Amino acid sequence: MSPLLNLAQAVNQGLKHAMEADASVLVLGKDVGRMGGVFRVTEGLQKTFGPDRVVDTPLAELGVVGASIGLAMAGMKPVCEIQYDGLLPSALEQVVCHLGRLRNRTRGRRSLPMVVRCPHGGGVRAPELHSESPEAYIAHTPGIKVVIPSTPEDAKGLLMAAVFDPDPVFFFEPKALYRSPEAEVPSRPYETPIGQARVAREGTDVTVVSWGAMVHTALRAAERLSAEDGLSAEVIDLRTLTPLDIDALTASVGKTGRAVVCHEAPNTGSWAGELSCLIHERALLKLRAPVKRVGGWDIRMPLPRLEKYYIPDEDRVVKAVKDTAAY
Amino acid sequence: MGSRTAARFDVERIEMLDAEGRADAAVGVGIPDAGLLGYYRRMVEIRAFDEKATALCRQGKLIAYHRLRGHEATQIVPPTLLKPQDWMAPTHRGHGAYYARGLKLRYILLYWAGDERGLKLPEGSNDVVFSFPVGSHLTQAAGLGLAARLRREDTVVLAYLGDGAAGKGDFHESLTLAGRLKLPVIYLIENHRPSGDFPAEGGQDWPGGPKTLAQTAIAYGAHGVQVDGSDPLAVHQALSDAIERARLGGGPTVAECEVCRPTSVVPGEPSPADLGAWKMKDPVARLRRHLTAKGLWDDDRDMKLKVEAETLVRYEAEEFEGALPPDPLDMFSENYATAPWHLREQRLELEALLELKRGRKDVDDLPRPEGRFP
Repeated sequence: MSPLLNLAQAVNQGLKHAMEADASVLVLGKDVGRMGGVFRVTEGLQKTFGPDRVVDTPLAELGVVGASIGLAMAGMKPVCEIQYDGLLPSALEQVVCHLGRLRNRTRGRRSLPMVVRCPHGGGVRAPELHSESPEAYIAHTPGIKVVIPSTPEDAKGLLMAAVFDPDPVFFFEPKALYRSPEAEVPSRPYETPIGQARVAREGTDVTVVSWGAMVHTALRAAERLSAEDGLSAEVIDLRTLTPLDIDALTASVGKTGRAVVCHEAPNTGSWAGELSCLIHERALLKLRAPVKRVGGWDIRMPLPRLEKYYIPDEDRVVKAVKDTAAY
Repeated sequence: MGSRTAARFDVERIEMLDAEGRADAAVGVGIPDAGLLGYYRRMVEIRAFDEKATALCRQGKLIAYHRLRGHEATQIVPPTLLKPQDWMAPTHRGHGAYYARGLKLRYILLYWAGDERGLKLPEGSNDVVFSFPVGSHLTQAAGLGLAARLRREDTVVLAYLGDGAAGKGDFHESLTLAGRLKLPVIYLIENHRPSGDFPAEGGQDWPGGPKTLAQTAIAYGAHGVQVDGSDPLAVHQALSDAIERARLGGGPTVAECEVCRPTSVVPGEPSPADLGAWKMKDPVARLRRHLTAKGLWDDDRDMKLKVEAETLVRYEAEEFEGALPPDPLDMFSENYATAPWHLREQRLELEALLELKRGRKDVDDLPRPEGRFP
């Protein structure tokens, strides 16, 4: 039996393996070194690898992401951390204007084999702008790969795959899953393929597509639907938002004929919208109902007292699936 | 208790040449004659290029062009001081800097004609391809400096910026990193004065602001120096110092180089309002006076060089104008290490569209697409 790790520990282990395997891999960000990261994800790494490979930076997100681009141009493999999702907008200029563009702008001469790690989502009673789901901004930007694990095992494997991917990868870490659940994680180094979804639960009646912490909500909803309503939901954990595993989606919808996409971000302009569009384009004749999106309201994420009425819960997912089934 | 001075700073200004082109005899210049002549040649060449590009832009052959007349010293001298492994990160006005590091002028014209192929820097070049978001290369320059420090290399990074970018967050975050982490980055601010009247000191037309841009360095623990940017010897002195300081682990420098950028729309002629200032601040004329005063130059040689420069520029312009248009499929090359399925699908769509247009003779014969795909 493999040791039990939570998501934060799994990422930590993945970073450790990657840094052992390749001396050009380095970690940087605010408080990542001496403190080990505000979520403890980089704990112990500076002690093992030293301050030249786990670099504490001043508070300067735009500076850190920009500097990481410089480090990657110089041939290193930086893994930079955005401490909180709310600090991502400061760095968006480097993300939008350079991260996905540099390979093309330099006609292939330079590329950016780097990772930007960023916490994701709500449900942890955090202050304003610390519970965001900004994946659509990044997935909409050409040239960047976007991944988000929902299990410790995938977290380690996707992190390692991201580090050794020749392209820039945005690695979202669901905060609600940092500490629990724990699960078995193989001790050896391994990569989980980027661009490949996972069937988290097999089913026949409705495809429920999700990512990050919402996968667990979808699974609990599926349990209830099976027990109370006799509905068999197939839950797909995307794991990679882009490049999308379109075959997994169309195969599942081809089987069930119905789809619900669940996520935390505001629905309008969301990645769920893009998925709905793709499913309609490629599997229309297999569909027996329109694709439903279950996401945040088109308002700002409220402060913690009301966050459970914002983030879709089991009730909302169950209702969406039942409505789709009864269409 | 009362108060006492917590810290005090001075900002030095470097000037070497006087109005007649003589260098202060008490100050050693230290540039071999061949070096001075080399600077002059390149400066004359880039000036000729600047005139040509301005004309081409006026003819509608370039989508835009940012003049660098007045910047010849700051564009040609510092890159010449770099070693091959050093990095350079110019702005959108960095044509002279790229040229000084070996980029053929035709590529600069190609880029400004709106052709991506113009960004293809020479093999082995450690230059950063410039981009449009003002100042956004500066944090990247800090990263290049950090790589050098972490790998214990004596590589340095020369980053250019204008007085505009000096106010942007990117500059300040870059300095935050470079100052605290003691990075080998040289920030060369090309501070151009409004033409005509020089304010005696201080910045542009704002009601407030700092006395110098060089003093920005102080706030970040970097070394700051102000330079007469139209004096090639001063630029050489200040930038040599800054480069050496960085190379020896002494940290970053902000070198504020004041240049005069005359506003005339007539090629070769400053506007009447600029004329007086331009006489004093034309870097090419100042270096010519110095070379002449040293007995290294004369009118005959100058005429000969002018002809050679114009010939070079004309040749490069011909190469640019003779280049075939790019293949639209080029757009899909080099976006990822291996293009994902959705790009493959989209490229096929474009291919089909091009076939359709070819059938209707709507598109000329195209060269093969460049770059790797998928």
